[in-house]
Amino acid sequence: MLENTGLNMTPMIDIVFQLIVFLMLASDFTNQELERVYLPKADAALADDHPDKTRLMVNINHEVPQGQDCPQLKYKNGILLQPCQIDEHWVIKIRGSVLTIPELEQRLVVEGNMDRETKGNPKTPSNRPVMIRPDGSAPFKKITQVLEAAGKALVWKIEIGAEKPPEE
Amino acid sequence: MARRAKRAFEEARQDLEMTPMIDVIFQLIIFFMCSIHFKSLEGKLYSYLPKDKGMSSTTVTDPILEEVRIKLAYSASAPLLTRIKVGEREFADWDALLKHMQGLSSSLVTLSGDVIPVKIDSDEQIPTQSVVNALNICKKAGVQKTEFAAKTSAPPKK
Repeated sequence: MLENTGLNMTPMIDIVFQLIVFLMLASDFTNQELERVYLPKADAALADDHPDKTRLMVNINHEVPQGQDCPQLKYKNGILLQPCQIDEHWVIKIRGSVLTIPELEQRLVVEGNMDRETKGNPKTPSNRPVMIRPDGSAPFKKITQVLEAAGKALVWKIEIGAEKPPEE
Repeated sequence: MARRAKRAFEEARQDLEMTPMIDVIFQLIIFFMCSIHFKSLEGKLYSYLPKDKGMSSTTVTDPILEEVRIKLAYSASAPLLTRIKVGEREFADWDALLKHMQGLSSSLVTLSGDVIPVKIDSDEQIPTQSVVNALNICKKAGVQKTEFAAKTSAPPKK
């Protein structure tokens, strides 16, 4: 009588496949260009169902040089105790690249040119939407810098990204 | 006969080699676990800029009938580091501001149909969360027009 004493792999493979399926479903591949930003919370925020996947996203995040800690930014139990007011620690990023204000202005002009009210005339307003995704603790100064650059480029459809808190 | 049957059984067992498949699956799991970025409930608040004003040098004068200005001032001791004022009245928290704005929103449209804007006037060092809170309250209170007040930049030195 022959006895099959081999390791039964079926349950392990079942579990492993379950894990893969879960991780694939939970991963957000659609927004790979998005920076990890702790968005401000707003329960009146509308669902972001913009059909244009190429819409420009301007991220404002807190970045300190590697190996350093920010001496100012302080949280306690998720509550902001002290914001960071060091200008160099707040960066404006588009698709992973850090931009200076003149570069941002230039980028917004290019973006605006894609949908001007009078085609080819950069002096007419642009209907191209732009979303700002700021960190909740970012000083408002950074938002005004982006708004100012958008105003110069005559891009007026500005949206501010916010996180919808989970419903209780 | 028995020997042949045993050989056939062993050959059949050797058909399916599981090791490479398990290797690949583990690689996949490690990849997903390292790269995972969970979906979050993201939304947006519209904050459209005045379309027809642009950045022209001519000053545009709106026929403003009255002005409602939410002043957000930085204060290290206040909750969320922000002092909230509308006119001369100061609010202890965001709920108080919401109640006030809800009472005010119906009077922000004149009989002739003009919409009086609510201006959010924030200090530069205020955390964005506070500004978004003010914007959120305006939306919840049914305010139709919200604007950001901005300081006029000084002309560049020659």
